[in-house]
Amino acid sequence: MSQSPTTAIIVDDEKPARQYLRELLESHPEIEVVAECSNGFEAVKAVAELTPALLFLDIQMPKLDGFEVLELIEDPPAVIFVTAYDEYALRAFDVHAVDYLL
Amino acid sequence: MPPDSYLNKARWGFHLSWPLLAGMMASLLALTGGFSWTTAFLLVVPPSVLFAVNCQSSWYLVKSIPLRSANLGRLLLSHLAAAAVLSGIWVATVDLWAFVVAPPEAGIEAHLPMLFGVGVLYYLLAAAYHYLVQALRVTHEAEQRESAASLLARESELKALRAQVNPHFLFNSLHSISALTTRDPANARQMCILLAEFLRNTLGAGDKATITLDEELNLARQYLRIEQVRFADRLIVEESVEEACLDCVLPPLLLQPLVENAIKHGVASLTTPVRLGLEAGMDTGRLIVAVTNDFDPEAPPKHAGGVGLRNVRDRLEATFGAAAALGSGPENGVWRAELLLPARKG
Repeated sequence: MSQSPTTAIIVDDEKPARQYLRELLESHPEIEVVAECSNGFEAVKAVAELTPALLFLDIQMPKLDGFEVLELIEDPPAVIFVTAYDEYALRAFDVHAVDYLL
Repeated sequence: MPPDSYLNKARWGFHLSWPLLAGMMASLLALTGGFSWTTAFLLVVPPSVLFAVNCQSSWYLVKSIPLRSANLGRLLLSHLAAAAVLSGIWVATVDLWAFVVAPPEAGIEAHLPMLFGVGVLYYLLAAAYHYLVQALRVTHEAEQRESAASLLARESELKALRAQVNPHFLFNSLHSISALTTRDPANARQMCILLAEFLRNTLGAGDKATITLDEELNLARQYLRIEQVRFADRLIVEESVEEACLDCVLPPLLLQPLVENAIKHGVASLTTPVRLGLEAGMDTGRLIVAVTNDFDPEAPPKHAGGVGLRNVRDRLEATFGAAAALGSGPENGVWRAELLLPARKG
């Protein structure tokens, strides 16, 4: 059990989805959301700067999708995919995601 | 049926008719001309075969001067001319052949005018027969086209029905609205009502044959307001609609797929805010309704081949034929999907 909260970054191109995830995480004080990103480019930058332990990652995003974001991050943190589409579940296993939330 | 099969049908007519012609001619000569039956047949049969074959060429003349389109004078004149030429050739052939085959005192010359007359009649009969075959073919093709059209119409109807409520849209909207429920409950309620209204209007519109442009635009506006919950300031809607065309009527839900496409290929594929434009205007009796959107020129071009657009094209074709069109492509840096229809008032 870690003493300090686990840092997390939320990545989703839709604002309502980010807000919703934030709300859900409010009931988990051991997780602290340190940044919100609305696209893949912001996500790569934020992960590099803030080195979170956890990444909540949407898959369907403009320009860079979730999988492409992962490819661009060196030494990625634990990833939980958060998406409305279930067809990426198998691929998620390939990249060793921790979880896949619909 | 391929067109040649009708020509084959026509040819059978000849295979059956030339013996009759030859027989008739030979009988005439034998009975009235004082020729022996043998001479008569010998004289008439080979040129008759040649003549019958030549008369088959009337098929092409018939095809080039269809009954419906030509003026009657030109038609008669053309066929009479052809008849005269071909019959003249026939008579000349008979005369030449007689020189070879019949005794000179038989006096075929006296009968040549009669032969000529019969030849003209035979040609005209052949032409009439060809017109008949053509008419059969035209009717058959029209029937085929009609059944194909009604099949397509039914398919389009089904597709339009299915397209009325896009499940992905419902799915996404409900997700977005649910996210509002805790932090902005008033807005969430408003959006639920708007979504319900949209669904009610869409399902109602789908049942009608036509709706006004005003109603169609309102559907699009409702749809876009709901999408704005999801996209917030990434979606900017601009309108440029001529008042005068608001009461034009058109088949329902033609605009819907265009708007969906604009969202999918515009807003959802760019990280920067996207302007979506709704345009409507009239021009020389035609109604022009367009949806424009900023787009990513580097994104793979899957715009043109969308299923939704194909359905719109099919419906336009089924309703208006060539008088309506859907164009989709880049123009002045934005993507423009444009509906062109005859402007009709309700």
